[in-house]
Amino acid sequence: MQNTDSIGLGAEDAVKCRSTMTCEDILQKDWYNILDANPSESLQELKQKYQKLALLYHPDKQSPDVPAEELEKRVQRFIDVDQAWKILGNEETKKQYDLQRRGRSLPRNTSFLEHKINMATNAGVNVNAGTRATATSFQKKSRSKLVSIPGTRPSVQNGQLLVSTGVTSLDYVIGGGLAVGTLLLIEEDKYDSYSRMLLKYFLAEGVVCGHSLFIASSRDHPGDILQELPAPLLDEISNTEVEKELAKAGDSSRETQDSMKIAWRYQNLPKVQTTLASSSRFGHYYDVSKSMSTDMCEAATCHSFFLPNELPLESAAESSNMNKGYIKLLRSIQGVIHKEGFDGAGPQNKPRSILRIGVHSLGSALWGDDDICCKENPEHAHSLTTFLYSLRALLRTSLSVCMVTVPSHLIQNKAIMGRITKLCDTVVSLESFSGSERETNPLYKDYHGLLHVKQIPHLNSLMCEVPDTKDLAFKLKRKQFTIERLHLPPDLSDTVSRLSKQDLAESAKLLGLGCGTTATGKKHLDF
Amino acid sequence: MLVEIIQGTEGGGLVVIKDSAECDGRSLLKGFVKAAVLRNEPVHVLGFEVSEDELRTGLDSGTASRLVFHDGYSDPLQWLGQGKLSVQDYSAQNMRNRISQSEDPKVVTLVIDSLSWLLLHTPPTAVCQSLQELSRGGLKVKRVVALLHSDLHEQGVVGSVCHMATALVTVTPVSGSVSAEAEPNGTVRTLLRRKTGRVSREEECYSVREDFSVQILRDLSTRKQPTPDSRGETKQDDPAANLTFNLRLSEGERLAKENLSLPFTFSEEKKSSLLQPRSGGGRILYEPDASDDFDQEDPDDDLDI
Repeated sequence: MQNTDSIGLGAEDAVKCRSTMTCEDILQKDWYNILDANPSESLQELKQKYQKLALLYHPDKQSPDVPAEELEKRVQRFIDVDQAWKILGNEETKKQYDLQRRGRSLPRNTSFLEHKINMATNAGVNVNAGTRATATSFQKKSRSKLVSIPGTRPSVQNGQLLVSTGVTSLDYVIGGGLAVGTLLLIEEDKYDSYSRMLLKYFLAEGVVCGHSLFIASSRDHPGDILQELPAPLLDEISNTEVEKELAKAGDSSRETQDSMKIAWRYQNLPKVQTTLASSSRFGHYYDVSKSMSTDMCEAATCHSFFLPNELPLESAAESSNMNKGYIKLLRSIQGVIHKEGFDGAGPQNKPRSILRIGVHSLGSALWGDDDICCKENPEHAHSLTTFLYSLRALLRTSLSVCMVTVPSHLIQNKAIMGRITKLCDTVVSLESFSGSERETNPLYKDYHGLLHVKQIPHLNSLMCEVPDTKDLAFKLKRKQFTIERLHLPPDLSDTVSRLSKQDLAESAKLLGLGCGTTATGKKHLDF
Repeated sequence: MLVEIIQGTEGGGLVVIKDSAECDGRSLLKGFVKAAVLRNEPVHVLGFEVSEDELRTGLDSGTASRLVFHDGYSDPLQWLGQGKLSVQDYSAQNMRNRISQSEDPKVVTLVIDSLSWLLLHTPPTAVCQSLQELSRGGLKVKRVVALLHSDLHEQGVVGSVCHMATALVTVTPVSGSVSAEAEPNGTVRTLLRRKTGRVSREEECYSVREDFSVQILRDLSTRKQPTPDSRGETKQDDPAANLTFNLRLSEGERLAKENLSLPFTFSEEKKSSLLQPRSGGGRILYEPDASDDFDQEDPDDDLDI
């Protein structure tokens, strides 16, 4: 239904609210409610309802003796109705909205779609789910068993089975969650404070979802790590907190709508969203100041691998491909996977779960790998890479997911780091501000560090879901580890982008000295 | 913070003192020994680099009884076969055995002088693993204090060993002039890793007195820059002051200015109708002018060939 505007403002059509609406906007309003319809109605019925409401609330159709506030409310209603029709009238967006709406309303831990887990191929854990989502409860009769594993959900992008990493904003950054059967590598920050925190979140999420845990460490005993896991926040508290924040953001934007005097055409555009959130929340929230209760820890099945206990300390240097520590770890993981039936070897009627493997500080000197962190041209450089390769093969053929932290700042040879990155699926690197000069930089004062996403896998597809911004910063609050878009304000100082002649001369001098011995004195390189 | 680490209230299991050829850290190490002895704790020293006599100089006889020196200096390769300590003997288990031989009921502070010697003869992973084993505490060893010469090893080795330390004390020579009563020995940068994961750093100027007690002369750590505040204050300088013309508004002028409606402000209704989302992209509304010749048949009619 075209809006013939009698005032003749053709150029204003360029302001298309629809194209600037973000995902969050589309999903926060209940469009069916606005149109006074329900999801099962056909397109024709929805169109009729839209036309009726549009005629009722169109600003040109209002009688002149309507008071101003009432008029404004009706105009707002008209805008809402129009937006609702935009979404529900287009088949594709309607389908997307329906999917996500249903995902929100259902309880978190069960998956409502039919899965088929492909065990035979090494191509990965492939779940054919997404395309068969229907609005009815009709389920196709097929030979595969209906498998729903608590704590997992299928990806809306490629149908892979996803688990949460324990940090909801990290889930969003890596494409919705961690796919089962893949390896997540965290490059540690310099003092290993935040990467340990991420590992603990990962394991805590496993405990809460009822997954089995496998903790491998060479420094701290896995029992100690298990006791230091953060306590999960009760659902009501976390829900209301997050919703309060969203509501506050929504209210403030509504307030400023009336306050724009000159730039009023931009009123309805959403403010820049710094927080990353997806519509359907997948993971849980944890309180870092409290540790998980002991009975919760004990309820979880936990396998541990503590290197000093497994290997005698005075073992001779290794001559095979992998060092002894890694071989033992690999065998231990393989044993657990086979024994507990994560690779499908066990009987089918056992309730399925996911094995979460967490390995702390792999590649450091404590694992017995004396080359990578100590020398620039290590002889046994392939030890760690062989281990990762074999580990990934193990993961692909079982229902398990692994998070590994590596102290990449200690690894001297960057080529090795490149190989390690290629051998893992998702790679995320943490750079904390503590101890660097950035700590006092006022631009970074709200955050504890930067997060760099180095690699995202394409699993059984040609494309992967890349986060739309590469500047991400994190901060560890008591109840949440948030990752946000680093939104730097414009630099309005006088000296910006204007290199003085003095600076140029200085930098040229340094360059000159570095290049050769003949450059002396203040040479001003002029091009 | 250095004082707290020396006193043992902070610093955890493994303290590494990193020095270099420009500034020696052994006097600081002796300061640690002295402080531990004063607290009535037994100290075992694994000496590889200096002889026992040299280490004991400056420490009075009262401390001598509490200090147990394991001699790895006089016969490092064990040619004389007198049962002295050798580098090959070094391992966590052997060290624990040696310490428990002394039959001291209290827990012991183990001082290693120096780690560099060990790193030159045994692979770094073995050293790291043994340090980890020893500093994990428990049975006999409360704390390990080790001296490391950073310029003797590759960056990777130094990095790996320092990554293990719960407290890292880096000694550097004093830069700049200091006019204090005592001559400083150097500046020390301490890095403390706490159990919660927080990391604190401080930089201080220290001096070691005759009796090996350590004194902090000055705290050099740079606090958070005050520049944002001062910059903010200068910004508030009124630019309209001190001009030859008047830029200020009187009350009446201000009211008149606010009442003036700007050329492109529309009424509320028009604004809200403009804000409605339009479908169909940008529309081009063409109104032909009086002089426009809108002739469809022959567009080149007016060409004069």
